[in-house]
Amino acid sequence: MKVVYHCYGGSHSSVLAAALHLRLLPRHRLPTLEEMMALPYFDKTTDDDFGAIKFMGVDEYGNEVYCLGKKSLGDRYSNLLTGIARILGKEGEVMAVNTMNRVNWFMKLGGYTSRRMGLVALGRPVLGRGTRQAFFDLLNLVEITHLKSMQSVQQKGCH
Amino acid sequence: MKIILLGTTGVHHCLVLARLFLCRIDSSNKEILLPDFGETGLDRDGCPVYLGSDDAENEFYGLGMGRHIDMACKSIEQLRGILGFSREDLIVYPVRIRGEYLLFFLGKISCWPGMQKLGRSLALLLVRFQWQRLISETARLQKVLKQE
Repeated sequence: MKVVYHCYGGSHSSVLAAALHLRLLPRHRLPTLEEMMALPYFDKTTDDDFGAIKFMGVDEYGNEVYCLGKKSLGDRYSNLLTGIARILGKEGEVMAVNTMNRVNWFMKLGGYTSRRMGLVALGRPVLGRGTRQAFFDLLNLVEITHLKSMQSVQQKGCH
Repeated sequence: MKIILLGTTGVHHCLVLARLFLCRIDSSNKEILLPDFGETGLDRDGCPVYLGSDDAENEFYGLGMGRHIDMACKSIEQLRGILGFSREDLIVYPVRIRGEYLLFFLGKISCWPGMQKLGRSLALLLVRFQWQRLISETARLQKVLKQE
């Protein structure tokens, strides 16, 4: 299965969610800004990255995990990805997860300042604070997704 | 093969292009009486809308992505690769005409109560203005499919 986490820019919440899914970050405590900055793509994307499905890794069940920036298209993008999979006869192969409902205003403000305005020194600390605040909400979303993907793999194994 | 006709909306110019391609409308006649024309509810949720198939079993789908056609095109093409398919299995064909953003806007206002008929009529007018362009797009699509 392909798990695609998507957010506005594909730079913060989706990357963090994918990293949590792949256990690239500790789950029992808040990560530091340095740990988050060490993640691939975290606060490093440009305008060219919108729409690009970026590979993050493979989880313990063999699911490929990706992140994606889809601007303001919301859940429409989840439907787009699963719809394309369906018409290709791969229904159930793609799980698209919108992380935007777990993003707070600090993350939005910090992300916009850092990525869109290019004021990294100003935006990144705000982003770091927002990300730490949203961390357990994102972790919750990842746990739910992880469980769903695990169930899907088990069901396939049964068949 | 699956062909995704990607436009600002999937149920205006994309639908007309598909029906022109499938010879379900007389290209010399601008009277468009298509059952799903302007039915924005069909592509509101972002899923591709099935528009028909040709004799070679090519399936045509319309997809509306508003201002984000290029971004969606990139994502679909990458997803195709990730799922192990190629251009022989799925083609994304962006349909660009003049006034496409107006069609998108008309699609939006068609959702307002009592505005569906007006939105649909104005969209029809706009598509008629772009009739020649759509016919040339049909020829271009034919060429693209022959190359594949």
